[in-house]
Amino acid sequence: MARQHMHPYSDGAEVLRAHGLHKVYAMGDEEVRAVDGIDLSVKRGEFISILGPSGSGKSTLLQLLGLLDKPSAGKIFIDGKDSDGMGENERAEARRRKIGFVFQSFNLIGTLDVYENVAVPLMLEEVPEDERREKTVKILSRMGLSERLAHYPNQLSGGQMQRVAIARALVLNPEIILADEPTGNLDSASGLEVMKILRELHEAGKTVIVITHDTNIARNADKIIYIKDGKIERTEVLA
Amino acid sequence: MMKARDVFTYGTHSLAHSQLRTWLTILGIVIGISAVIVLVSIGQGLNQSVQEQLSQFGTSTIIVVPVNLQAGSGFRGPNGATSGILTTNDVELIRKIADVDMVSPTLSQRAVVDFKGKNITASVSGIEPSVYQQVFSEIVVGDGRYLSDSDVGAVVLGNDMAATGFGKNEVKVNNRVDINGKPFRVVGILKKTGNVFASVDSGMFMTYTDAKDLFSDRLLNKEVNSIVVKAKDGSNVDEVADEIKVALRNKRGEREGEEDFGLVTPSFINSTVGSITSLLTVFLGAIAAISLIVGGVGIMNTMFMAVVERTREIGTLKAIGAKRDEILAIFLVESGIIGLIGGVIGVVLSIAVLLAAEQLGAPVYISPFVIAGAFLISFLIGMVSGFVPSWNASKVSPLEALRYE
Repeated sequence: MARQHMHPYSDGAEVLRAHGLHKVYAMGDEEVRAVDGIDLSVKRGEFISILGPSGSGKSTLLQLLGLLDKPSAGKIFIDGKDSDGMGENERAEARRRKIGFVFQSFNLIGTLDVYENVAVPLMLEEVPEDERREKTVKILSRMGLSERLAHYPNQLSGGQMQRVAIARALVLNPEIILADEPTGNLDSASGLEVMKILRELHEAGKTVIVITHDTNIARNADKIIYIKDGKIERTEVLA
Repeated sequence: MMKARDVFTYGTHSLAHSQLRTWLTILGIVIGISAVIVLVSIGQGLNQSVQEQLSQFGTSTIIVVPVNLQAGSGFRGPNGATSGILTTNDVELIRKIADVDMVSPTLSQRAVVDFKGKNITASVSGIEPSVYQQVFSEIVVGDGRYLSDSDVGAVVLGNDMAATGFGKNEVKVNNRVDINGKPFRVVGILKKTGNVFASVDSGMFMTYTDAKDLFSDRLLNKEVNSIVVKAKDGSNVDEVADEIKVALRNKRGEREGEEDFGLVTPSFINSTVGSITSLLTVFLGAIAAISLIVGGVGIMNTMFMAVVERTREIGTLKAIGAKRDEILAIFLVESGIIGLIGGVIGVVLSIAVLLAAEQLGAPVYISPFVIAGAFLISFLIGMVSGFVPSWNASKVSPLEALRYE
């Protein structure tokens, strides 16, 4: 399979941009500069890995790019919009509509079954019942989980849980998939399967950003951004 | 904002997977709600049964007694007297008032009564039979006949007095009883009234003239114990009572508020007894409400723990786009549902308890208003108790979604 730096469907528009990004934590008397001046541009349809050892600041970068936290300095533009000007509700809406989160430990809701878990974003978005059912069933069948709609998370394998989580991330058809160590809690076979799905999403035109400390996982992407001490060490284009 | 139905669905799903702790919390509300409903219903039942018994006291009846009924709470006369003496002169004075239909002096005394060698002390009333029966509708003859105004040496017995007053020996019509050593013939036995306010069932009745002779050594000349008055049909009883009051006051040279007598009227009874039973209901309800508040504290505790335990879930919901007020609504409704489930079970339980109590003879009134109120209150208690925990939940950071252990 030929790897493309830019997907043919992509129009090259910038969907996510970080500019002079800083995040400083106070740890007792010390200041920790978790993110220390990062500039980043993600174009529509790109598949990027952000690679770094633990403590490199990659998780903090994910929190900032995912609008889960605010930077100490610098700006994040999502779809060209400055996130500085967004209130709490607007940020929540942006997370809901523009970003699909995939978490290391899946973060499914234990009291809801597979169908209901995937339908949560649709419920938040007030999508009508019929449309909700149609979208949820469709995305779950795409994830190969049609037989598992009424199962609860604790009845699923890790790989299945992560596929449910990916279905939940995709159900509102967001621009960006933001995956935090998506294979971190999976055996290698399930991990490969999840990466294959992310690859396919990219090929279907989604923008995919994977945060990982694992070079082998990172190499699934078209571009690897190496992070160290809160800074971009280098960028490697794979093709 | 999420649709209300979805908020409810989410909450019910959480509760369906809930732990023993949640059910114990619900139990707290069940106990509180049941206590409120049961005690309030018994209070209302008591109130209703009292009102029913009081309604037997005719709507046009006034009883004059030689005691100032307001004296306990207010002003006393110059010499401090709050009780005096009523006489047959007062009876005649009252008889002259235009709107007065009938007047009867009444003597009520304790007397020693002997039947077949068994002595008891009983309440004996001397009445004017014709007036008395028209005034007190609950006086109905069961056996034998009623007293006539011209009877001499005749008594009529209340139902309980005849049946059990003298132990094993039941008194029958035409039996002889000796009252204070004088022989009387039992001419009739009354039907049971069940009224605990007028002691008809345990009483003994004879003509006023007989009683006057019997108790002459204990009474002053012309003294009567009370005066029964029937106002004319269509007249205003309270106005008639006022006229009587003024007439007696003027005759005695007393000022308003300093009377040495008192008037029992239907409105006096209603207001006095009504306020006592209402107070009782409120008091019972208030005691029960304490247990409901404790139940609410239980919900608060459970919800605080739930928020701590579900921090990750809340963080995840926020990360995938839930807003603060959506999280707030989810948790508020969830604690509201805990309250409501407790309320529903509590209502069912209390109705069962009340029906059982009714079988055992307790006066019970199950008001639909109380039941509906219980549902509403249980839900509200859940929401109110859950407010601070839910507020905490709404403040959970979306970053909690990424805090892995």
